Amino acid sequence: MSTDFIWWSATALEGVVLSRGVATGLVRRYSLFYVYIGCTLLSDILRVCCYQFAPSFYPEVYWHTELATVIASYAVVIEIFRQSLRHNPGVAHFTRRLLSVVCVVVFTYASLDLWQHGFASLPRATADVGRYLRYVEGALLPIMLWLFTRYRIPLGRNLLGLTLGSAFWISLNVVNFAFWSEPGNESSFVLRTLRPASYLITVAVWCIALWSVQADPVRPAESEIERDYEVLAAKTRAILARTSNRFVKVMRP
Amino acid sequence: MTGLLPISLLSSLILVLGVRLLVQSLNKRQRPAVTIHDYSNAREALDSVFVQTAAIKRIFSVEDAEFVARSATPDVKRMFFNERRKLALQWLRRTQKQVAQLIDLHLRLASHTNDPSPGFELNLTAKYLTFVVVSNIVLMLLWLLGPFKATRSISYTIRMAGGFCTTFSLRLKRVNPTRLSSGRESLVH
Repeated sequence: MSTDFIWWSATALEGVVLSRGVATGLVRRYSLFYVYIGCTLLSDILRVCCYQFAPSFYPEVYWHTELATVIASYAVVIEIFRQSLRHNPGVAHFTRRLLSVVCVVVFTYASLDLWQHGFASLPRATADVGRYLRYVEGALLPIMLWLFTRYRIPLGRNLLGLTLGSAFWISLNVVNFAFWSEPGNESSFVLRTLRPASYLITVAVWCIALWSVQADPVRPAESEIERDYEVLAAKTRAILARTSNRFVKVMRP
Repeated sequence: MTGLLPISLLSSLILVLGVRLLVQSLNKRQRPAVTIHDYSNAREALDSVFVQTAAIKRIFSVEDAEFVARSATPDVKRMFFNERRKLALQWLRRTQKQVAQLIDLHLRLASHTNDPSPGFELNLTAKYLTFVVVSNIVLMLLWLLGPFKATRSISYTIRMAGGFCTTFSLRLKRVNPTRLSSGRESLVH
């Protein structure tokens, strides 16, 4: 009963997020994110129909739609990256390089692991691929978040909500998938409830954050910022060197 | 089961960074737009910490301590040592705060540059963290022992600060001086 309530609530919220996006025009600004929401909504509807009219196909449909939504969720990561760093070309370039390296490493590890363990059945293989894709996503997200916090990238309320919702959802999903894949946990009630519950919270966060259009942080004028890193680094080095020298001069007995 | 530990750590890391991002965004004191003027102001503020070098040097003057120890009453001695300790702590805390502010502004401005150098940024972070750790140790020693007895630890700080200085001066050589027009007046002192 509670699982049904969570499930229906999440689906209803997805519909609300999508309709608000269309009404406010945010669907144009965060198009990739709304593609993901559309995909999840569609897969939810497909699952209900399958459950009602062809229950024997449900496990297969479930895992295939799950894989499709995991792939679609990459659109959210790309959207966060695209929107947050559009005024920071240097950091964007640096992030792109870092993400590519991590992506290649994690994908290689996941592929080898998957190959080593073989494919027991189609639903199981689909579930495993979905799990590894989540792991890759889970490896990419902290790097992006770390760069945002390190360089104090200002995010508007819309983008902040989108990012935090994704962080919460991916972090719990990664753990959930890991525990689920352990022998004996396949039918755990806690894991089965935790996942939709965390998704409900995520969609609620997205719904609140994307309810209306929020202004983006004010950007300084081109004349008020320094584009040349070497100049900025030289200034910082100079002032810190001077500070250190004075510090030594003061403290020297 | 061994695979669960790194996954759990990864998940916790995402959550921690998410919370940090939220706190950072909600921080009212942090203005979203930082300009080179803010940066110049921070540099001036950091310079101002050392404006009266002679007066600051006096806080750590061993001659003063020896004079008071020789000729003052116990009450005056206690008051003198307490005051010196308080002054030394205040000065060090203010220096730490100004350096932290400058690093913060550097990072925020660096995000707008076209080609931030990850190597230099990493080096800067390592040196800054060393500075934070060592200056906090000195702070603790000043608080525990007072400015005069903590001389040995302070001499270590001086060596550390020397290393800190060298890192910054090394890359300075690579910079084309003609491109420093906007920062020239503050670089030459």
